[in-house]
Amino acid sequence: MVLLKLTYEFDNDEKKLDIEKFECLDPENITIYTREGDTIYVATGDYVYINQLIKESTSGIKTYATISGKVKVEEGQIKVINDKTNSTLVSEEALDKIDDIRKDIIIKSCENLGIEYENKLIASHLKENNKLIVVNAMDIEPYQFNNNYQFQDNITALLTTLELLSNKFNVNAYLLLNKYDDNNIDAVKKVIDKYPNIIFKIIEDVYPYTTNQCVARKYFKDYTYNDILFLDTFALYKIYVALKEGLPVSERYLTVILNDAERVAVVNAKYGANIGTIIKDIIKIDTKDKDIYLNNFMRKVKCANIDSLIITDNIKTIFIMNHEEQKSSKCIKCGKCVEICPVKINPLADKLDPSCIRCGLCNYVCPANINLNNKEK
Amino acid sequence: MKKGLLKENKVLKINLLYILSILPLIIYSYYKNGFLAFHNGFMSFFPSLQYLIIPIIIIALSYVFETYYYLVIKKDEDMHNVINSVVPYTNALCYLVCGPLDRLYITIPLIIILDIIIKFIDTKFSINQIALFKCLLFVLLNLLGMYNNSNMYELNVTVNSNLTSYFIGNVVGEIGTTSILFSLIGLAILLFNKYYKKEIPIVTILSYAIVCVIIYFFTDLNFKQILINTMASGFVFATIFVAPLSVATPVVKTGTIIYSLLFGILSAIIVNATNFYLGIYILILILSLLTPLFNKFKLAIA
Ligand code: SF4
Ligand code: SF4
Repeated sequence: MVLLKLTYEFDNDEKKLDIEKFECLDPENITIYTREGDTIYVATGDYVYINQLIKESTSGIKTYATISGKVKVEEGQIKVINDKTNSTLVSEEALDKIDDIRKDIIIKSCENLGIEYENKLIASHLKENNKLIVVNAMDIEPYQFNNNYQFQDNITALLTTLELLSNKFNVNAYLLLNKYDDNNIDAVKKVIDKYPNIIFKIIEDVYPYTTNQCVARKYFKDYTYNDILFLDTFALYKIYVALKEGLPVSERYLTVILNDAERVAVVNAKYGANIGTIIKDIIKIDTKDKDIYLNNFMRKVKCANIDSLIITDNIKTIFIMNHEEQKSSKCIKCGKCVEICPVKINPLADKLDPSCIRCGLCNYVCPANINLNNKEK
Repeated sequence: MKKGLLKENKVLKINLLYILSILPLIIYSYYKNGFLAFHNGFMSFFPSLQYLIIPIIIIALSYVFETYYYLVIKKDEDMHNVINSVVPYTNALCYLVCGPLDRLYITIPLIIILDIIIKFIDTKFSINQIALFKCLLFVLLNLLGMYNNSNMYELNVTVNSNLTSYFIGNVVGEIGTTSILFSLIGLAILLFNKYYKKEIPIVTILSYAIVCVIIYFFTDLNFKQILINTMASGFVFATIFVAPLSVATPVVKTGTIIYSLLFGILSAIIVNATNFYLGIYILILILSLLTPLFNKFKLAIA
């Protein structure tokens, strides 16, 4: 049961949600989309093992097989057909203790595995001269519970890793917790003594004020945005697994919301697993004649074909809503979009200000249903 | 959860509230210009009803014209732009600012023709339609020499203008702008509309009042005269209905406040220093044209 409190137009509604949990750790196959310029390390007919490197993007982000099986390389995508064995490539770098690992090794481990946060390599994040590390243990987008579960499931590992980062990089480390999340707060209270370097900050989870940009502006006024290394619990967990086992993480959480939170499900699924299949076969929701919104319904980004979606770090929530015609009419210049904007820019401008965080609130409050934040920045 | 995650289209609701807010004024305008004229024997019954029928025709015709504009000219697939149009409301407001003419029906083609002209100007600039209407209308009516032959009621039953009749609106003036009481009732209805920019009437009235106090101390106008000027000029109507018309006001809070301040201060001067009440509308028109400028204010302050 999770208590939810949200911003503005939700009327600060409190609602108790029963969250169902599902798993999709043995999918029939996984898909990895490829782009021009990617280096592909496999060919059709190859057999790959879990954790085997499949491709590397131009920016150095690496993608690994999350199941073992036969490879099929097609135009724009690579498929691995699961042979349902659990054969996995084991790294030689597994460590018993991660406490005395050196700073450069931390960077190296992340670099080797090409792990990323917000489409940027964590290694290059770590190399920058950060003055602060802030880990957001909350889910930023409304109705999303991935980080929440990630934290619950791996609390010791995550706190140990954060303590380590704080020590080795010699910076203050903050962990942001949701005021309304009693489970996690209680869990933290029990172990708080063991992590003297971590500052636990309990803040109100009001969208979109928990986005990194807003958190920086509100709580860390003395630092510029670039001084702070922001991570979420999932990125921290990736660092932990990289250090401890020398391996990439092969599964992540996805939240699925039906209509007005009639059903809320959190699925732990392998990267590359097909989201359409998960929703139809595992959660058992019929998506026929429904509108699918990705990550945040306020942004009004609709997905035309759910079967083309796979589990990646960029897809965190799926909203399945009754179909609704959303026609926009002429702007009535009511000014609500300007009023609500958390970064105080004018969403009506021809070109969006670069500081726009794409929170979608302007879209959400617009009485004329105008999609304001799909403009060029 | 009280609301769905996705919200319904609100513009229709907003527009209906707008129209509802001027219904008391329309009904009162019938009472004043039609019913009283009939009652006092200046008009027979059926002609007196025109003050009820013509505004309804204007609202209905506006919807017809909007339908034609969007469906035939713009080739829209469905009616949503028509339903969401604010034009029927602004046209009804235009009717209320007309003089009570002998040949009242002339307002119908006049308003519709002006509406067409404005549709084409409006795509380029954000302007306050009613302010523009009022100016154009005034010029046209003067050209046609009609405003001078205002109806018999206006000419014959000029009431003894005490403060109460000014407040209720039973005085010489445009069809529907004279009543302070019914304008305030309209304001009460508008306050139910979350999208009504209430800061505009509030700031305007405050700044207007301050300037009036200054005028009181530094000129030989007395309190009663200032009050009568204010009520007779249609300032209250303009402040509640015309100035906050959201399609032509700044979207940025700071800009909106400056817009209202300027409107309040300058209209206090216009109303009390000149008898040129049309100046209020010209002022709104100019301020509306400056809207893009006001929208820049916030960035400077933030
Ligand atoms: S412009 Fe819209 S999407 Fe961008 S920050 Fe402002 S409210 Fe959010
Ligand atoms: S909220 Fe919508 S209607 Fe209101 S000013 Fe912004 S874009 Fe225009």
